[in-house]
Amino acid sequence: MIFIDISRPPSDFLAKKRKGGKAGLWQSIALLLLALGIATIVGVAGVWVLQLFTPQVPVYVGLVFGLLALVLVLQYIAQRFEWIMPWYYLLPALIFLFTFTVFPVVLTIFLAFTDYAGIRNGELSVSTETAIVAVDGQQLTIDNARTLNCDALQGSRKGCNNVRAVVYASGRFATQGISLEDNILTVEPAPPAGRNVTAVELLLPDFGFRAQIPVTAVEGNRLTLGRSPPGEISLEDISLTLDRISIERRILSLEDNTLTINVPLPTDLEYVAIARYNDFGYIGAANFNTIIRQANRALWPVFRWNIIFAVSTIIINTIIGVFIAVLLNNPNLRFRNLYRTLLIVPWALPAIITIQVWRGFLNTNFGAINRVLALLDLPTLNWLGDPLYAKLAVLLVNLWLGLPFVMTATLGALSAIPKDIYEAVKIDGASAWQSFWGVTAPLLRTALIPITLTGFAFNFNNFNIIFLLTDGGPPVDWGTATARGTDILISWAYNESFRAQGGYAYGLGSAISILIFIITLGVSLVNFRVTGALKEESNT
Amino acid sequence: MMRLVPRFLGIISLLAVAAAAMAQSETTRFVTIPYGWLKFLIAFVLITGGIALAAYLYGRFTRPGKALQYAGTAATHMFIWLAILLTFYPVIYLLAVSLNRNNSITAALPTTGNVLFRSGVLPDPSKFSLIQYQTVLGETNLFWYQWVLIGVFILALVAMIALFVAQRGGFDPYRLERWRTYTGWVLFLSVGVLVLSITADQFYTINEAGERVRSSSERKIVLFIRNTLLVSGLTGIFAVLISTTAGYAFARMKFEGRYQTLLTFVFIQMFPGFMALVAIFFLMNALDLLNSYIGLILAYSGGAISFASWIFKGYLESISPSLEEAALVDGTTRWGAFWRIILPISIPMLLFIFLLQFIGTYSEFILANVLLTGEDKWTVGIALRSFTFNRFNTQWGLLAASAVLGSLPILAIFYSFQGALTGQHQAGGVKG
Amino acid sequence: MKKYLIILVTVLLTSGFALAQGITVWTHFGDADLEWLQNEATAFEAAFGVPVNIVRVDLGEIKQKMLLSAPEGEAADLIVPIPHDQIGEMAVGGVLADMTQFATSSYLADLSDQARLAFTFNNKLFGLPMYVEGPALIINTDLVPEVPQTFEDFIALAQANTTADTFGFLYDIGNFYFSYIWLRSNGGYVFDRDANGDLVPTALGVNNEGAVKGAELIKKFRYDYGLIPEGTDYGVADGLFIDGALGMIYNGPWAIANYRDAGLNIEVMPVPAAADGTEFSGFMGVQGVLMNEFSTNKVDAANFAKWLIRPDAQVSLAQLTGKIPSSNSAAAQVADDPVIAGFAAALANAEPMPNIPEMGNVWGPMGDSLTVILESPDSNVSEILDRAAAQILGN
Repeated sequence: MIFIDISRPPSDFLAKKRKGGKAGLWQSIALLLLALGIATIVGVAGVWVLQLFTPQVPVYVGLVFGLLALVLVLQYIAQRFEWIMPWYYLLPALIFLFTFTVFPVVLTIFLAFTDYAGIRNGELSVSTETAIVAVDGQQLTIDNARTLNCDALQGSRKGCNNVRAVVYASGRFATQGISLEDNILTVEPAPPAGRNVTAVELLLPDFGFRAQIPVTAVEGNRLTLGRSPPGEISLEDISLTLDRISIERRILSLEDNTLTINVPLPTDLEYVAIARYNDFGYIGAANFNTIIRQANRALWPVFRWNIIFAVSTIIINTIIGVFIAVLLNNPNLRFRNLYRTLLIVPWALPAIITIQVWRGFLNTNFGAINRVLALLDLPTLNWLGDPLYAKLAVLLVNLWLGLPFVMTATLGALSAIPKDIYEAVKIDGASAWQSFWGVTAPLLRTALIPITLTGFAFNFNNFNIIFLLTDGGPPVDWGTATARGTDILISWAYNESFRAQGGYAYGLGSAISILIFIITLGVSLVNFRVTGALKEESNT
Repeated sequence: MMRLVPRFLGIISLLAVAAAAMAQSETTRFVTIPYGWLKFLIAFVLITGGIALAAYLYGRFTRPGKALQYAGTAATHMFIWLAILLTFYPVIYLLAVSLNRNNSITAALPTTGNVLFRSGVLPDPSKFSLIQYQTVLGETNLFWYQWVLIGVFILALVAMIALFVAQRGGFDPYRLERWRTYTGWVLFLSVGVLVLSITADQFYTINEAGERVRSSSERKIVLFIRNTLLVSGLTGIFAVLISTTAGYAFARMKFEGRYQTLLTFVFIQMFPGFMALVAIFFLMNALDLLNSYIGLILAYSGGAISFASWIFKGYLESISPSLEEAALVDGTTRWGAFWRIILPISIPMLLFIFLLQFIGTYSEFILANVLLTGEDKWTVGIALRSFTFNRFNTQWGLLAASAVLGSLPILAIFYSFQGALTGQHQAGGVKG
Repeated sequence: MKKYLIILVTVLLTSGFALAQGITVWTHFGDADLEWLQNEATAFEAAFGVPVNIVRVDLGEIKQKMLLSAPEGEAADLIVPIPHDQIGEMAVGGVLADMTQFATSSYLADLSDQARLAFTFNNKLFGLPMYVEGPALIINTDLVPEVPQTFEDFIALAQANTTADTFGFLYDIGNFYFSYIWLRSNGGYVFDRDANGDLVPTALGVNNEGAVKGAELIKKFRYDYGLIPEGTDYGVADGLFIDGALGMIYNGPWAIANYRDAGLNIEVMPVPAAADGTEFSGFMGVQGVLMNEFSTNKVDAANFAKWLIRPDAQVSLAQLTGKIPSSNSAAAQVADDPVIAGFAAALANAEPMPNIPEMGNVWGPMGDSLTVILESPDSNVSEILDRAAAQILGN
């Protein structure tokens, strides 16, 4: 980093000492944005220029150009506005945060107001391709309007209003072969002039099917093949694949089998088919309306269980974790380091593995848990099949998973308590019980509050345990296919966005994500208020 | 103390009545010991009480003042062993399934043997075989130098353990420390070179016709472990690199907008990260980084920045700024103070951030699954998931064998750096 | 520092340049099937000089991955194979290539009607069928030497074999794919067809009288006949069958290779008809080769697709795993195989799963409703099925 002089004494960076302008937040941000803007332009231009020479250059090479430009611009800015220096320390983190967190969040918020989904992905839908029977200016008569499937679109696009479409001109050409020598295939009649031939289909009698061979060049009726056919070919019935001509238009309306398009088609081609795009776009608050409409079957029960889960898992884990930690903190206990090492195992093993073992364990008739219960002559439970017990199972497994963390953190906090306090209390004649409640507990409390709050935030969106243990199940009367007995908000959103039962409704999933974001923010604000974690910061 | 006993007995009898009422009348297929819970409880109480009593009596004779404490300690031991048993039960089962030749977790129960085996509480040892491990590892073809590296690694590991034992034995810790550093480097380098040298082409079999047939995904766990180590390691390093300067600026510098930026850092990470999956996918696509480790590492690091900066800031605030201030007075530059003073004293914290990121990334599978499409680039998380999300069934034996192998590196790392992991939780990790 | 930057630039520039060559194939095959595919790929490479890169993708993931990454050029050229019920969403999503042009008339003529219809969507062939599969009754003849002749017989045999150490009859009861047989045989259906023979997504038959009757029968398996206990899923049934502790299982040909490896003597047959004349047949699936619409190498992809559906290739796959070839001539060659004959008999009257995109919404709600129905002996079957139907329709 020889370019940048980050070597000023700290007093230079104090807000009151301003050189070369005002050191306000907005000025700093504006300068940084300017630098980033220039860097982006250089990066994009760099890639563009490189791709002129070698088209295969991947886009991320632009990052390197951008980085170089950024360093130079930043150096220049630093010379003029020295108070910007603290921001340079933040810049790498800021860039990353904005690129890989803020930008995706903004895009997700945008998607929440669209009907973007797996089958409305903005791509051309080949399956909607239907034959064109007649062309009359802007009016096209098509074979079957149901194939065009205009009802699958949503919002203002329903019924193919203003939806993009592609009109195809004929793309195959049947001919006969005359000879094949040195990969030069001569055919009669010759393919139409001005159309590109991409491949030729030849019958291979040896294999009993027609193989496609790429065509690299066409000269009249002589086609140069990309490779020699594997074995003998039959020269009869050769089919050429022509570069299909496709013309993009917009559908204005569809009535029965008559389409109206925005611009008439050129008249010199024979049109055979039309296909529409899976257009998606702005649908207002429709996704949120869907959530509200189903609130009693999804949002409310899921939200309620989400809160209950996060709160109770934290309480259970903390109580048991602190209990074991206090036991292990006894200096007279031999092997305490060994015990701690052994008890930490669930933390060290990848959860994706252990949770699935638990899933097998909890099987009603064939799982180890019920076998143990039965062996002890205790009632067995339908762990994963009953909504209540499934919730219990989630809490149980999360205890197993989360205990090491609470235990370790508590042990750390306990070891920070000076030993002489205990000595002093002991001299005063306090019993072990009294010294625990009088000394350990209050000191632990201050250390535990942040641990429990982090734990709450983590467990509130603990996708793994739900997804891998119960997969949201069991199904319940009140639920939907995507929001079931133990689903929490995030697994519900995942089911909507990325699973078949939700129809890959990314837009709806994004809307739920925004709700989760707002709820998490609210909960965290309460947390910060309770703990005062950010209070001292606000004074600066 | 004495008054507690009747109350305790009362609770037990209540439990007995409740359990009897709840016990199912219908016949089940479970092996049951009548009143097993009562027997177990009595046995546990008797054993614990017996040991405690023995300890108490032992204490009476040796140090009468400490007798009660002895009894309490003995009971604590018993309790902790019970907790360890419960903790390890799934782990033992995982091992057993990986040794089961039938690839299933819910197999038929043996009809003979100890009641624990007959009831399925403990895995049936008669079905043990190493076939699953053979399947999973059998098609890994290592070059000779990779075998050498493995040999070096094992030697260094043995040396490390020997040094550890020697330290316990009371050797001079300073001289040992030097040797430990050397061995540590040998360990690190041998694993590093091994990770970099393994390629996807080394996984194949030769079929009857003498052609190389590439292995299927169940047989490439070594490759997936290698991929994961690479991705997790680089992600950890990236997270550390990017977050340290930011944490430093937050902790030690005063500037307009510091509080606002800090708030942005804290709040932006509350967005449920992987729900922006589609957006990240498009971003990576725009950068041509789909199906590449660079893309995955960038995405992981991006998600780690705010947390890591926050931790590092907390850590720096907990240590006194006097050292740097002295250096600054001596004319060291700001960057110099950061580079030469702050970073060296923060190594434990940096290690902690690295490890946290490493462990967090190791078994991640959602983002990896979307960004990596080529099988040769799979990470352990994707591979393990692919065993269970098969069409109908889970190949439990292969899953468990792969899982055991996949856990080994993370277990090793976890326990090697246990001190760094547990010690730092206080330092900064939990502040706010 | 500058030196490092230069190195970084070089590394970045060179690392992305590996040019795509050959074709990439996504498959959910494992074990014996995968071996077959790899051997075919090797043979294809020898004949055509085109390397084939085979990548495992879980069946449950293929749809989502195709919809998301195919338009960005990140998906495979071919999917080998996929059950036909999965194609609807991908076809509508525009990621599947219309393969009508690759199916020659001789190939189509040799194809069974069910197989061809299964992959036909909007009058276009979106895949080349490879084989037909579906569940049948698989019997461990060491435990159940006499095969059942009637449904009542079958229940009695199953009950007789349900002892302290063994089970008589188990299957993945909570899975609609398997349990559909009981609904359908009593008059239930998923989607009705209109006059043209096209499926109508709004005409549901999952909650009609027959479906309710079938679901009641499913409940009887657990509560009246005492056959299939709580917690039975695919893994449990399959694992017990392999261990030789299960007499009869309702399962498909994909499991046959494992059963043979375990040294079991098996017999495959349809679920026998009831005394009142009710015949039982459920879903069948046709698995075929799909092509990515965004493939950059459709020419070679089409060749490999055709290579895989050669009758020879179908026969070798059938012999390996008991799958019924979709081509009539190949099917005739393996008709003597008792396992294939058993599956063929069981699937003779089976219904191809609907392939319209709406089918994707059916599995979740129907699986859920089966679970709820089985929860207690007095669950209200018709109410639960009505709710499932409402969910499928999106209300």
